[in-house]
Amino acid sequence: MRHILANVFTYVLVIGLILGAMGFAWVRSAQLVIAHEGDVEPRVLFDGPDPTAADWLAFGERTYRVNCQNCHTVDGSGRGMYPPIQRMAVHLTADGGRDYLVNLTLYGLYTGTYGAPMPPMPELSDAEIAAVTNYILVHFAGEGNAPDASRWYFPREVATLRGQRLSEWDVADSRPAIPSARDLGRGVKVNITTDAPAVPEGEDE
Amino acid sequence: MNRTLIGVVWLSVYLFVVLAPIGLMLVPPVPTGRSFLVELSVALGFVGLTQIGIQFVLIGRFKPLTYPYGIDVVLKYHRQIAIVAMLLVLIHPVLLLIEHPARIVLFNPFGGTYASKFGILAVLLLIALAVTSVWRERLKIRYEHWRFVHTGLGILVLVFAQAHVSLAGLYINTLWKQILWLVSSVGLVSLIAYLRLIKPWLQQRRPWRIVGVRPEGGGTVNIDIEAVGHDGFRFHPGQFAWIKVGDSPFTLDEHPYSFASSAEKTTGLSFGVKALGDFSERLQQIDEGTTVYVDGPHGAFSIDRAQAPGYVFIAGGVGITPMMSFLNTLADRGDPRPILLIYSTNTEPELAYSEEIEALKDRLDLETVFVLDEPPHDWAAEEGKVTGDLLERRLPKDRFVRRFFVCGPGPMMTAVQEALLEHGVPQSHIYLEKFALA
Repeated sequence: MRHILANVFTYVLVIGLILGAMGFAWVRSAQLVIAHEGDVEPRVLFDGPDPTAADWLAFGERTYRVNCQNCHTVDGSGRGMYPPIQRMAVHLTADGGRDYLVNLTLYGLYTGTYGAPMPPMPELSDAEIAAVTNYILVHFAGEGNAPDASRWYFPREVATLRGQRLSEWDVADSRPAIPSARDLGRGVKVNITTDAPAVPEGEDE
Repeated sequence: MNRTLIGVVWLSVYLFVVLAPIGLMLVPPVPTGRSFLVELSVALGFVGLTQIGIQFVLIGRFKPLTYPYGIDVVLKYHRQIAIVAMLLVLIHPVLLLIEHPARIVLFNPFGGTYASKFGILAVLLLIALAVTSVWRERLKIRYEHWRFVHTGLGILVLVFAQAHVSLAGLYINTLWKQILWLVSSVGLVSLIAYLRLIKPWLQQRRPWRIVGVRPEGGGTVNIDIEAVGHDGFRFHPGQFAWIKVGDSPFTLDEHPYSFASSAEKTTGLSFGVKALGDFSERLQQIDEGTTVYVDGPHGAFSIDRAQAPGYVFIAGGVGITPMMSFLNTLADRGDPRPILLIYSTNTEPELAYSEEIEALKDRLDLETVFVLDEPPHDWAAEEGKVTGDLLERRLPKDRFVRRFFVCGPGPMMTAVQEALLEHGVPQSHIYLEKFALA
């Protein structure tokens, strides 16, 4: 009897665990839809998007923290294991560099220099990609190298780059001929602010 | 407290622990949702790893934990859920690859990231662990060696898997989550230290000594031991203990044996040992005065857990051992309840403890049915195997209220159980004990 009950428990538990994992995955992936609807994004989007607003940088920082920081680390150096993403502003002026910076997030990137490919993250919304790219460009630019606000990304620019069917090797080929991130070196001193609001005051997530 | 209640409480704690990592993953800050396959893969990885971690608790022989279920059930669950955990862990990288084939570079042990390297290492060791366990006998690995390898691989798998989670974990994205995971892993691994270092150290202070080695029939040897300088322990008749022989309790060479003696005697124990392996053979030829160490009592196969107006004990071969404990205990307690003992072996000389059983008839309301597969010419009792016909003839009229305890070789127990069920004995009145615990 004990053995029979134990077997029943095992089967029920295994089914429960698998269903639980699927439920978890469903809940988490369902957030993609919400993100696309713009519900989780700051309302600043709707009253004339101004990427220079403090809310935008906070939004970019939050996006960076939950999606990028695990690999690229808190100061964007990657600590030798992952590509550093400091001093990226030079891409903006290079040929094709502007699209490249967004494409590598949308379609991923694989160069062979580092062990792991950059995973494609099409699930991020246009606003998230714009905000996080701006955040990286500004925050990890190094003293005096930050691009001026006229060069920052808007969500609508990200939207035009979607749907291109690029592979991560295609993205690697489209990389502008500029010194590699590694050659540009690290050592950018980063002011780490963690108390910035994830979403503007009064907005629920 | 009620046994069922304790059982339910521990199960609830278990479910909480198993699901805690999923809950922890949802505690902010959480990463933005990714595709279904990636999230499913990550969830299965976490669920699988949690199950692997739980194994260290399951094999720890914690009596309060195993008491409601019986340690044999817990160890069987350990084997079952280990296979499930391994399959879940194997699905984890496969789903990641399906979702995005470019991740194939992560499978190169010389490329990839440190996270992927540790992950691959953990999975390979996990597969080795499963292969050496499932096919131990076919691979001709000695039990003692296997235990060492099994423990070592288990620890390495958990350590590497923890490294993988710490390095890769998008969901382990805050310091406190990192610390929580690390502390849990260290705690689980240290349970091995408890089982293999602290417990033997405690055993060392409670040694036992062999005071009698008496050959019984059927290649079974009865070994009597007595407590040296301590008051022994109480057990329930039918329980068993892990025995280590020799000067040091710090050895992996230990095997489970059922008590044959009365539970009313706490400082003197007996075991029935049949030569089923190297260790048993050595134990059979052991000298009196040798020190042994006893880890017990364990097990839920006991009349004390099943009160009834009468009992039927059905033993095959060395399965008589726990029945002797039942009979001796009931005799010492002056128990008046009726008992039927059905005991089957191949030949008459193989009937172990037969004189002792005859003597017990004076002290108990005991009826015996000896069943021989190859009976001598003048055999008056039953012959053949324990079948439905035999049970129909021999079972008492009050069979529906009696409790049935069956211990013997696997095929025999299966056959007896089916026959009992056919003759109207409720499933809940049948108790089985496999003596191959492994």
